[in-house]
Amino acid sequence: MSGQIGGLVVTRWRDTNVGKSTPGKRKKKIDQQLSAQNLRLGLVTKFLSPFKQHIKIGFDKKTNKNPGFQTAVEYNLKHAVTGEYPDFAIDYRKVVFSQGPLDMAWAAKIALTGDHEILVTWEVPETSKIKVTGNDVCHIMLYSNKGPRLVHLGKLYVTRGDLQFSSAFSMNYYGETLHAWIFFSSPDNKAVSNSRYIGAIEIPEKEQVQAGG
Amino acid sequence: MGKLINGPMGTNIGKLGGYVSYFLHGELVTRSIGVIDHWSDAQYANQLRTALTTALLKPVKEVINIGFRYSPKPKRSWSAYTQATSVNKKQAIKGLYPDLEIDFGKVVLAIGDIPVPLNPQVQLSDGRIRFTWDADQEADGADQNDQVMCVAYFPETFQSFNKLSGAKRGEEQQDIMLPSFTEEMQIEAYICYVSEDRKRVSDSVYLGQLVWNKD
Repeated sequence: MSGQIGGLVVTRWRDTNVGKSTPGKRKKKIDQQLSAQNLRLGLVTKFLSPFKQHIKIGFDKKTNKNPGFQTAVEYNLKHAVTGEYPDFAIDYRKVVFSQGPLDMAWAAKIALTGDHEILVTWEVPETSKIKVTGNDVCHIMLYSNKGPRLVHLGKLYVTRGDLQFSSAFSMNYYGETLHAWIFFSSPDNKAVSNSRYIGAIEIPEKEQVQAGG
Repeated sequence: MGKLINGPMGTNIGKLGGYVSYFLHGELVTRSIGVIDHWSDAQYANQLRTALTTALLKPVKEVINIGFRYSPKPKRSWSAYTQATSVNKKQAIKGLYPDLEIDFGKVVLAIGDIPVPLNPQVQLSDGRIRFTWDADQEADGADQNDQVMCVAYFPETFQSFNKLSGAKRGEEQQDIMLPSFTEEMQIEAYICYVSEDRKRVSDSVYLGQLVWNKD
């Protein structure tokens, strides 16, 4: 059962039924510090929402009592928000989707190969034990802030040793700027690397493509 | 936390009142149980120091496991990592809470009695980091089969390139190739000797900070 009955709200949270009392009405006015915090929190939560699946891999630690998404919001709230009230913005370079001890991606680059195809390349440093790290699974996130939404990429199983990832995506992103991040996870999903911002690519306008094409 | 040897209520193991007793590293210890929701400023400062030290040492764990393996330790139960944490937490953190920072010049990655590399230098060019030193074969405790261990540490991302089995003492040069350049990064460099059987090391030497801003 879930819903509100008078002063009681019954809902389901993480496999248990919980009951909470309804919140009281606000007596004091919201001051600027609080509304700034509300703005920042809303911004971060809205931004991170499309990435939930990846955050689940990158931030879920069994020792934490908070789910991975909450930890991710907390971390990004502290580190990835720039600007002054009321113009807060997300700093894409500082956003973190995963934290962990695995080697991160080095020299990652993204290029547009065709009007709806990307090629991401990276390198493995010589000191890295490629026989072991080469099997790490690669995760790429491509994001459009116009949506805001994640661009759906092909479900490919690409490993660090492949040194590249190419995928086509749908033709709905003309004229948009897409941002990309990369991180690795071990094949048994027990460890991850820190995520890295690869860069942004511009998808040309539809008319330009058709004219060129 | 304290050690209770047959007192005040005899040797008890388990929970009793607000305390719990158990064996730790072969000794019976007792501590209080409770939930703490806030700490004093001094305690927060210490927690931040620990956090910084852990983040600092994680990427170079394999170096520390060699560098601190046979160094003399205050307690027999201490591992290489425990001692590395202790030494670096005390020496390699500067500033006052809440502005605590790692002092990379004071980070210690190895303690040992082989004499340190003589005239060690580091240079960054052509997409590689080049470590050079003088062989110093005649020094007391030097062996021609000693190898170098080189570390290129990236403080901004807490990653590092560790060369555990480097060139022999006599070769006087060791390179670490860098991947293609994407963005400007700082690099802190360290070097030390390790004997052929990995049972002896030299103290680690800080070689300075490099700035990687082109290929």
